[in-house]
Amino acid sequence: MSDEQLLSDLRARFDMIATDVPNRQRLAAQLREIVEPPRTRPLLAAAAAVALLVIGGFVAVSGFGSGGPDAVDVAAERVLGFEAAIEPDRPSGRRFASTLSGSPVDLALPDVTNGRWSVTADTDALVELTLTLAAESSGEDPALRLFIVPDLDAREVANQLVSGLFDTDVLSESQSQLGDLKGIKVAMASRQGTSRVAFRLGADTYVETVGIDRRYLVHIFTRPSGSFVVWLDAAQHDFNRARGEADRLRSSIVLGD
Amino acid sequence: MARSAAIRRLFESELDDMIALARLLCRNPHDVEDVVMDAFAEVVARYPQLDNPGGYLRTTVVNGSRRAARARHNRRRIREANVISLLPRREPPIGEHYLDDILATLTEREHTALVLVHYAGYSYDETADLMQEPTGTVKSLVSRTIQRLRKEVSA
Repeated sequence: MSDEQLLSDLRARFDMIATDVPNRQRLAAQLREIVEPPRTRPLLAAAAAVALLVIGGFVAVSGFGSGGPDAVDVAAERVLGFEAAIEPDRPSGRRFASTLSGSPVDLALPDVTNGRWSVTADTDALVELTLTLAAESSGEDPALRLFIVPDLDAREVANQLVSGLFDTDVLSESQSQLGDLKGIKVAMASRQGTSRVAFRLGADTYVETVGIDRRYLVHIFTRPSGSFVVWLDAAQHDFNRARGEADRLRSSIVLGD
Repeated sequence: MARSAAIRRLFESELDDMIALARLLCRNPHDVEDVVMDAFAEVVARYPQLDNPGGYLRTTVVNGSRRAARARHNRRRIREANVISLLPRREPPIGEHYLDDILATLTEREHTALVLVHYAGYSYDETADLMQEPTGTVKSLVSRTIQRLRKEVSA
C-alpha cells in the first residue's frame, strides 16, 4: 500500500471518528449558554460561573474519570460493579472481600492521610484498587491490581512478564513474601516516557497498561492453581508514597483456597 | 458588547473543529464534553487578557484532550470475550475499519501528532507549538508513526 493510500484511509477514518460525539447537540447548547448570555456583562459573568459550576458538578459526578456527564453511562458502570467507592468515613481497616478465578481474596483498606482507596474493578478476573492522593490529583492515580495467572508458577509469570515489556526497564528482582507464601518481586520503570506492561491470563485474556513515566512493582506468588499477582502501577512522582500505602494494604491480604 | 460578539464569532467558527479535534485526541467520546466545555469556559473567563483567543482555545482543547487520553490510556484494559461483555466499552467502535487495531497501539504522542498533522491540517511548526515539542521531534515522530502504520498494514 502506498503512503498516499494509507494517509487517505487514515483521514477518512479520522473523519468518521470525529463525528462520533454523543450528545453533541446538548454540548453545543451548553456551550452556547456560555458564549451567548443575555446582553449585560454581569449576566455574562453569571452564566460563565454557572457553566463552571456545572462542569465542576460533572467532574464530581463522574468521580472516577469516566469523563462524561452522561448519567446513563455512569449508572451502567455502577450496575456492572465496575466502580465501587469505599466511603471516605469508613471505619479504619474496613475489609473488602472478592473472588478471583474462584479463589476468595480478603483484604483491609487502610485509611490514607489526604487520600483514599477505591475499588475500581471487581470482577472474577481482576480486582483493582485505586489510590487517590488529594495533593496529586493528576488523573493518573496509583493503582494496585490483584489477579491470578492460571497454570503458571511465579518464575514462569516473571519470565513472561519481562519478555513482554515495551519501553520498560527492569530495575530489580528480589524475593517477596505474603504470609507464608514466598514469591518474586519485580521492580520496573518506564524507559522513554511511555511504556507498556502486560500479563497474559489465558489464551485470549490479558491485562495490560500503557503509561507515561510510570513505576511498577509486581509481587508474584505461586499458588496451587496458578500465580497470585499484586501489581502496583504509579506515576514516578507518586511512587514512593503509593508504595508505602500499597505495602500496608498488601500485608493485609488473606487468600482463601 | 464587542467582546460578546467576538466570543460568539469564535464559538461559531471553532465549535465543530474543536469537538472533532477533542473527539480524535481523547480517543473516547465520553471525554469530549468535559474537555470542550472547560476550554470554552476558560476562553470566556480569560478573554480580556488573551491576545489570540482562537490559539488559546485550540491549545486548551489539545492539552485537555491529551490529559484525558493519558488518564484513560493509563487504565488497565482487560480483553476477554466474556469479560468485555460485562465491562462497559471505553472506546466504542464506529463500524469496523482495518486501521482501528493499529491506531489503538499508538502512543498518546504518536496519535496526537498524527491527528494534528494529518487530520487537523496543522503545520509541523503549529503542531510542535501545540505539543510543546521541537519541530524536528514532531517531524520524525510523524514520519516514524507513518512508517510503523505502513509496516503494520503490510504485515
